[in-house]
Amino acid sequence: MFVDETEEDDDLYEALEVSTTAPAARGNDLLDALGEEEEEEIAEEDEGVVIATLDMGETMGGEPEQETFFPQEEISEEEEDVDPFEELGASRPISSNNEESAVVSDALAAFMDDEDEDGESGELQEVSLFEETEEDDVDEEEEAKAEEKPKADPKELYRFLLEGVWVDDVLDPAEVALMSRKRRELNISFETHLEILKEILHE
Amino acid sequence: MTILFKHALDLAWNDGRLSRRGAVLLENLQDFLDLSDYERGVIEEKHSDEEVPFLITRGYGSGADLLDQWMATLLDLDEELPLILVSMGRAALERGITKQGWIDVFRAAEGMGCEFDFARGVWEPEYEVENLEWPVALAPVANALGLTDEDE
Repeated sequence: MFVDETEEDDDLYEALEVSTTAPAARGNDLLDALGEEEEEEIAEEDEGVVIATLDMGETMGGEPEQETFFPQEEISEEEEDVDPFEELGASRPISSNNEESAVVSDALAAFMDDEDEDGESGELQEVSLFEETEEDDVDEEEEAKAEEKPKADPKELYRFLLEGVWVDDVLDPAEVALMSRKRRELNISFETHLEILKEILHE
Repeated sequence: MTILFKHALDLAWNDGRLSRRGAVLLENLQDFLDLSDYERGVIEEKHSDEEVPFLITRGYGSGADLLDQWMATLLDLDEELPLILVSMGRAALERGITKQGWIDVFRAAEGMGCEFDFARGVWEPEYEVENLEWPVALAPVANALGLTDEDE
């Protein structure tokens, strides 16, 4: 009980001789204490600060939190009635933003429409592209076949062989036998052979 | 036909001079071989540059007689000529025909209307060819085909 009476009268921090300042401030004070001759004056000021801090602490601790600049009721009413965007003047920008956003949304909508259209057409294109690729493959095969046809043209092939016969500038029986066999294989008449031979020799 | 007309020029200029009769025979041969003026001009120009300057003048165009005889012999080969050309072609093939030899003789055979027969003798090995002796009148053809070296 004795203790309770003393706690009511005396401050606990003063009784324990403990500073109520923040550890950082105390650290700075200790560093200053190690410094120049103005330690004592600074220490007195610090004590004043500590006292003031204690006074603040007493007042804050003694007085209830209800003593604020704005009563709780007013704050609650303002929060209920006032739109913070309106008070901040955010209504215009909102409206302008709405216009802009409308424009932007229109543009985006246009893009979205385009995208949708693209998407739709893309899907169609994908299908069509897929179909075209098949057609392209078929066309390529046909072109390849068409390209192979000239290569497989008997006259051209025979012409190629006949040109090779004269490479050494001398015609011998073996080459003649080969060309005769090729004529039979390629169904080339002797008249055609002579025509091709003339073309080769007169080039 | 080039080798034939060149041979005719050699005969016509045999003694170092060309007689009027020889010139007329050359005109006739040009028509027979169906030789163009340009082709004849090329052949005669080359002959004038390469042969005539080295000729020794020995007469007054007696070569016309040789030309007339040669042309007569050639024309007399009418029915035999195709067979002879086939045989010459086959013989030449067995020795090996040069490209220029083929071109010259084929054109000469064209002039005589026997190019197909000559070509068969060369290019159709399955075509049976009778081995014939060729007349002197076809000496230009034999020379072009390289058939005269061994005979000589």
